[in-house]
Amino acid sequence: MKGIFRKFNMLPGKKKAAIVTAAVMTLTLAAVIPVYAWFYNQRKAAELYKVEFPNSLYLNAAHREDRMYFNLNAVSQYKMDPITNSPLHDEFGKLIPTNSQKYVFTVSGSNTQSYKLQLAHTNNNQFTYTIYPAEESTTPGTDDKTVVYPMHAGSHNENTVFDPGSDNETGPIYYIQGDTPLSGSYKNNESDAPILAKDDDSYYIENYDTLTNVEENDIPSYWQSETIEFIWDLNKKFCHYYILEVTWDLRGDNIFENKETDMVYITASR
Amino acid sequence: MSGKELNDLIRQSEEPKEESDITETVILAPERSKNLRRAILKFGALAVFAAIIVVFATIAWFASNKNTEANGMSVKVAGMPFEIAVKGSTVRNDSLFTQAVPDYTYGADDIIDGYYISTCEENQIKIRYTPVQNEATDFGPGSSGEILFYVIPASDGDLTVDINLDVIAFKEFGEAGNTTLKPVSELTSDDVDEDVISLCEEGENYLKGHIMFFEEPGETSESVQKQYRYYYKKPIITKVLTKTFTNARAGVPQPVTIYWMWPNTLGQIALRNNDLGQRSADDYPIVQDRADGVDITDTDKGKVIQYLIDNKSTVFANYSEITSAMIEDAKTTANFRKLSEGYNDGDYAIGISISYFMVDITVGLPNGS
Repeated sequence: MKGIFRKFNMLPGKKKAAIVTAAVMTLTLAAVIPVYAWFYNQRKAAELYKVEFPNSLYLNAAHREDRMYFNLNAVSQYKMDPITNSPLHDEFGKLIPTNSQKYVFTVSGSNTQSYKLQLAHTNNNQFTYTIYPAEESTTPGTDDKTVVYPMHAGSHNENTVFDPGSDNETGPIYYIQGDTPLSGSYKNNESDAPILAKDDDSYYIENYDTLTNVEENDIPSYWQSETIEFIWDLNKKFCHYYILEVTWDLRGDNIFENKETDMVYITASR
Repeated sequence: MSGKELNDLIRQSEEPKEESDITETVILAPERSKNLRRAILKFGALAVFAAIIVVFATIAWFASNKNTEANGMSVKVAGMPFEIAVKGSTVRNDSLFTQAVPDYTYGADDIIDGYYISTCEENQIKIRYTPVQNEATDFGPGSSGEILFYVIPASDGDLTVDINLDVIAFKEFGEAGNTTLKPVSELTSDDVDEDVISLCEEGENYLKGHIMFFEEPGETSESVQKQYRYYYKKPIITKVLTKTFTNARAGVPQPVTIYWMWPNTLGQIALRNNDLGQRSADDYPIVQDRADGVDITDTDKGKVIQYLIDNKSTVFANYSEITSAMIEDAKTTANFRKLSEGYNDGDYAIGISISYFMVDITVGLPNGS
């Protein structure tokens, strides 16, 4: 073997190259031919199946942002700047009283053609909750029908149905409230004014079993919309925006003196 | 000049020449011998090389021989040791199939009545089926299927084949009514955005892990109590099935059935049993349950759990957080939740990115034969 290498080393460059090329080609041929022959000894069969698009239903803050940005903290009796979250003042520098506050949320999903929205809330503040359909817009509409929402960068981590595009958007986006609220009804109403839930029905038993003496405003009221039906887009997806309006009686019973807390849950169900 | 003189003259003139020849031969003999040896070596090497080429070329020629003879019910395939065949009234998603993978054809239907048979020209054929009422059109988690095809030996005797099973994902894109279906592996940025390609590749990855293959059906009959039912036996966890047809007759189709399933929930695959009620009563386990504490290494259950361990990156979307110990102890609530979340997220990744999938079966002689 050493002799061969010695002879190889003594050869001129051209011959060396020729020998190496010949050797590589021979080896390649020797490898390729049996592989080629083996492939010819194969037969293939295949079947094609359509993949079912998954069902999904997402509840998010406005602009499909993560739920943490749906913030109902500190319902204020004065008008607030939605961007800075600080009270607004009139031309005389006074706070502007209001009897409502609006919050935007998104329901989106895929392969679903209907759903219901549900609210469950306590009644300590005797708030009235109304849900309106809304349209997203880059320009504001009329004052009383527009909710301004400040977008947050990096806030699309939960909803993977839609491509968030650039997830670094900040600045305001506008939601124009529809004229007609969603139709629906309370499932366990004892009375409308004051709003109270029943303390002896199946919902109560489900929550409290045989317990009695539950504070009457703490018994949750359950509201359910009628079935919301729609046609999805070409990719079997949909995205709907809603405004939850919380209202109270401006002159009623000093409700804010009570500094009460209420809990409200929004659920989307199909 | 007399004749003798002439002869002498000729001899004289030749003698020195002979001497010269002798001298030359003596001097040149070693060089010629070397050249001769070199020539023989060169010729020998070339001859061996040529012989190798001839041998392989002959093998290749035999293998690619296109002469197929049909005689009544018998099929003779020269060179090819077998052909495959399918039966059924229709091909699922036929036009899209043709658009996406034009290499697959129907096979020859005039060799054996009712069979669509592969040939040298049509060596990739479309699997057929006969639809039943309320046939599923869309397949997702919980879907399953049965693929029946035939291997037709070319000669009498034993035949062993390797059946390789693969799952290939396809993406449909374009405007409604004018869409294109392409294998995910062939998508380019001209077709869809780069991030969509990444999503599709991710979806294909999980699809390959979530679709599992089996050799035999399990026990799902109504006469068996729900908690004892299970879907399949003999999981094909390597996705290669070696099948031997003993004493097979030439030209007689040998049926092969492959069962596939896309399990609906983690509980169907990862739990040894449902003692803690983590699995819905209607989600039967994919293979037979086993009691805690017994060695399950050689059981179907053990094989499926080992499959999950070996393929965690194609089964669980959160695989970086999943350990083998968690899979082995899937019953613990925290593990079950983690694994279940990963499995369901994998399903979701498939659902939002992949439009169609193909079960691709390759039948060949075992490697090395």
